Amino acid sequence: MLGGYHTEYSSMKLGFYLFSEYINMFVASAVMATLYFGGYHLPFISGLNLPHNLIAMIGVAALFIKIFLFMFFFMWVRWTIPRFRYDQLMNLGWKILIPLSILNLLITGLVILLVK
Amino acid sequence: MEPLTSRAQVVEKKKMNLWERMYLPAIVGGMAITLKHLFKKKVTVKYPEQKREFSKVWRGQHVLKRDDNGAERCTACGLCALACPAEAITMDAAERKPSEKNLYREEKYAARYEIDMLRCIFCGLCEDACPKEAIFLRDDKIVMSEFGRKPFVYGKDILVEPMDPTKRIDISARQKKTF
Repeated sequence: MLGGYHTEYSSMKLGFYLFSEYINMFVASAVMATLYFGGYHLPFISGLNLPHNLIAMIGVAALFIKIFLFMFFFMWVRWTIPRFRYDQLMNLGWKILIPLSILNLLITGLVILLVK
Repeated sequence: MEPLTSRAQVVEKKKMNLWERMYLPAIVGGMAITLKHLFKKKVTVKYPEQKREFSKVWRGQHVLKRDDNGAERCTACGLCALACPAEAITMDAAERKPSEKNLYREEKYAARYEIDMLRCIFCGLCEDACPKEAIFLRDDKIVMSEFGRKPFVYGKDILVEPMDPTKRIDISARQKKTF
């Protein structure tokens, strides 16, 4: 139950460990927000004819809000399921999530094909 | 067997169907619960700054009462020490001098009265045993933490309430036993 580094490290070393994990979480959130959720773009903002500087500032805010939403999601899941049993996690990943993503791919392809 | 609580549930161990084996619906349900708790009123308090009200039946630090004239009620009879299951109370009796009539109510008094707060289990039996209504457990004070063991032996300097009538410790709630 007690993960290795929780017992091996204490004080600032554990602090660095956890800090690096949170940095990792931040970077992963940033990548997800940039690649899949439009980065600094907000929908409908180009139609408002705002000054460029304002749009840039809103873009930065939008990116960070997206990143923090992802981080909140990470923490939310982590505190909801503190310890997912590993065999169940493997079942979920291999047997459920991967087929679901393949299904998603197929449906997306089908929709694109039909729309064109 | 009779269930111990009304919340007991019979657990059925049957094979899960595909929907249940997906875990995702259960996980989403769990996340809804955690999100709901995020907006609930917190049950914890920030202790040293924020304090909860004590219960009326709280048994905290002891106080040795004085009577209305400011004389100590304790006569060092030793019944509290006898009643104490933790053997936390020690006392030495002494005879009152004629000049000390305003300090002690009766001819015998406790020259030394010590309670070892590390031994004390705050059961309140001393309070029940006392025939002179001299010792009470306060309902408004916790025994504080210390850095060593020595300071936990509380002497008369800590236990006896102040002579000043305005600084007397109110134990009327415990005396009446209305709870």
